Amino acid sequence: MKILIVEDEPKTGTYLKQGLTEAGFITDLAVTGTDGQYLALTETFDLIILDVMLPGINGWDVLRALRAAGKSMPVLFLTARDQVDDRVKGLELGADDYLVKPFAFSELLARVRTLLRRGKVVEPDTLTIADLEINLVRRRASRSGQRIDLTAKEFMLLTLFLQRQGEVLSRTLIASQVWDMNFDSDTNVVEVAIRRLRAKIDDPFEPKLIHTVRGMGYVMELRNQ
Amino acid sequence: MILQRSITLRLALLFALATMLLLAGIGYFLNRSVESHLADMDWGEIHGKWELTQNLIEEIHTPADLAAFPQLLEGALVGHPELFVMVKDQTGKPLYATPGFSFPQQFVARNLNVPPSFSAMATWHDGEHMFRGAVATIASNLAGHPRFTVEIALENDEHQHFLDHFHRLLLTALLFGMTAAGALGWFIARRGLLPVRDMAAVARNISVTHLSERLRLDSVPMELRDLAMAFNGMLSRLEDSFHRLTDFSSDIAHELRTPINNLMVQSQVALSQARNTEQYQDVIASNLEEFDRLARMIADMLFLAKADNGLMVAGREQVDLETEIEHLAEFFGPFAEDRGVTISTSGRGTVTGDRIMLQRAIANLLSNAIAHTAPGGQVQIRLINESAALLRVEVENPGKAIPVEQLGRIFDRFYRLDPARGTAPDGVGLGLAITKSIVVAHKGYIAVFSDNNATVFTITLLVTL
Repeated sequence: MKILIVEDEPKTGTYLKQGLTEAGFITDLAVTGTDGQYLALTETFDLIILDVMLPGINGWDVLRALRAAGKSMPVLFLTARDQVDDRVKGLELGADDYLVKPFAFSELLARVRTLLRRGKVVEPDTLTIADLEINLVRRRASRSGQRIDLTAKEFMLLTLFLQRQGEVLSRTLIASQVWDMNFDSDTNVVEVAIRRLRAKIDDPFEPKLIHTVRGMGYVMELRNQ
Repeated sequence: MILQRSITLRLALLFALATMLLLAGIGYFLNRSVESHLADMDWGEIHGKWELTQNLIEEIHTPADLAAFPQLLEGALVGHPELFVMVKDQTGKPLYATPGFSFPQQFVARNLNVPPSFSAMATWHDGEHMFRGAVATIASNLAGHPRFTVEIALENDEHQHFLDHFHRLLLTALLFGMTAAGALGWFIARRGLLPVRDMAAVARNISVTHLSERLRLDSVPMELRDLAMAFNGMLSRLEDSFHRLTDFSSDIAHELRTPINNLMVQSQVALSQARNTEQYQDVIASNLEEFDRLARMIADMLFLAKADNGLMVAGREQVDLETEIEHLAEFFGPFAEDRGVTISTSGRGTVTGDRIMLQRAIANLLSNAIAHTAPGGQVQIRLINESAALLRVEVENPGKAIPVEQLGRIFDRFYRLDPARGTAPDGVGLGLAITKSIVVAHKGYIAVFSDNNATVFTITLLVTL
């Protein structure tokens, strides 16, 4: 998967490139709108991460030129301006998603993956990791063949982790996806919920599947001991 | 147009125009009365000679009288070079004619055979001269000459010269009056507008450091008092906004200091000597927590800034608050349970508004309530239908009374009830300010009550926004 990053702020650009490369993507970095537009038009990318305020040509115009040239790869906008007008403008011009700085890298990664996955996902009936399995139709969870009783929210939380295996999920994302709470909250409400889920699916078993990534959130993955 | 821009110029021109109209009117009537007076005088002269001629004609009884008539008439007319007379008999043969003068045909044709009157007086011009005259037929007492036609003309050049002079005088007066009125008007308007210039001078002196300056209402004329009051009102609003802005800015600076200090010191200490990977990871993770706090603070401040500028427009959807509150109770449930606190909900109700914003507003109150409840306590959220149009959300938690002086500031930005504790439950100290701005964006009302048993926050919302 090849991603073009168009970002003029050197630190942001470098870290985005590093982060995405380490996440397994092939990345190109352009530091001006002009370079970005040239690269996007002449090479093939699966996704473009586009800053709005750029020297040369701004993000809106790059996007306009791409769509005019018939390029339909997903475009994720980055901007420091959180104006509804901006958001609407971007989406009208054909942007696929929008992130306001400052954003969590895990959030960016999640959105990138979602955009690349778009239209390709067939939701299976069962999801598994190691010896943990959940059945989405019968809404049952089991580990090592043992049935585990979960509340409705715990089941949703576990499903989210299984669907996004290997992705760091921030507390805000979890609160929004599981409880439909769409605000940043610093309360350790999510922490308590994770602790309860762990008590049911991780504490009595080995290996542990839910891991805390300090300062970022939680990730479900099978780690080598 | 310049006229629309300058009140002074407009007033001056209007003054001049008004004066011109007034003077022209007066001039017109003066002229009329002078002219009619002169005509009266002319008529008096003509009439006098007419009567004289008539008398002379009536004295003619014999042909000898007739022969003596021209002599008599001539004698009567001596010393009146401006008078011209012609007397003809019924055949049209002149008996007497002032030498060197001929009456115009149209005048002669006007003979109505009745005694002359003022209104029958004719006027005509001959070259540069102007004449008035009368013509009529007089019955005679002489046999064979039943009647005579008498034509009298008066050259009134003298009156005409007087009138011409008079007209010139009037015109001069008119022009001078207009100019003077315009100039005076300009001067008066400038003087009259002095208070406006004074106001402008005060306004010029108002800068950021002198925002408390006001126009003195007692020195302002009645007509400008409204304007001055509006101006002062604007200044008050500006001053208020400005103070809030400066307070907010200094608060921000102050609030940023702590996390940035943490970040700096932590990073400097970490870099001061070589450490192992875990220690570095620990520092970065700790930094990340501070960054998170900063990012959230920025997001919250932007939210409040937008609310302050009226940019926050609440969405208008039907929000079932009962469901929202149940969801919130479910979300906060495990967290509360951990602290030994229970949550109870009651009531139902729907309002129009922005679901996510309202959710956030109530969540802030709920998380505060849970944080301030001792283990074993119960937080209550109640929905109360105050009337058909108003719905009240109450969030109550048991606990000590909040001191009155703190209650007044509880919705202020960055205000914390317990400064010693450092951070409010939401971490930044903006939660209640945000809740309030959301409520205000919904045209609602937020209040807090506190006594020794419990603290209650109430949000009153319009059922239909």
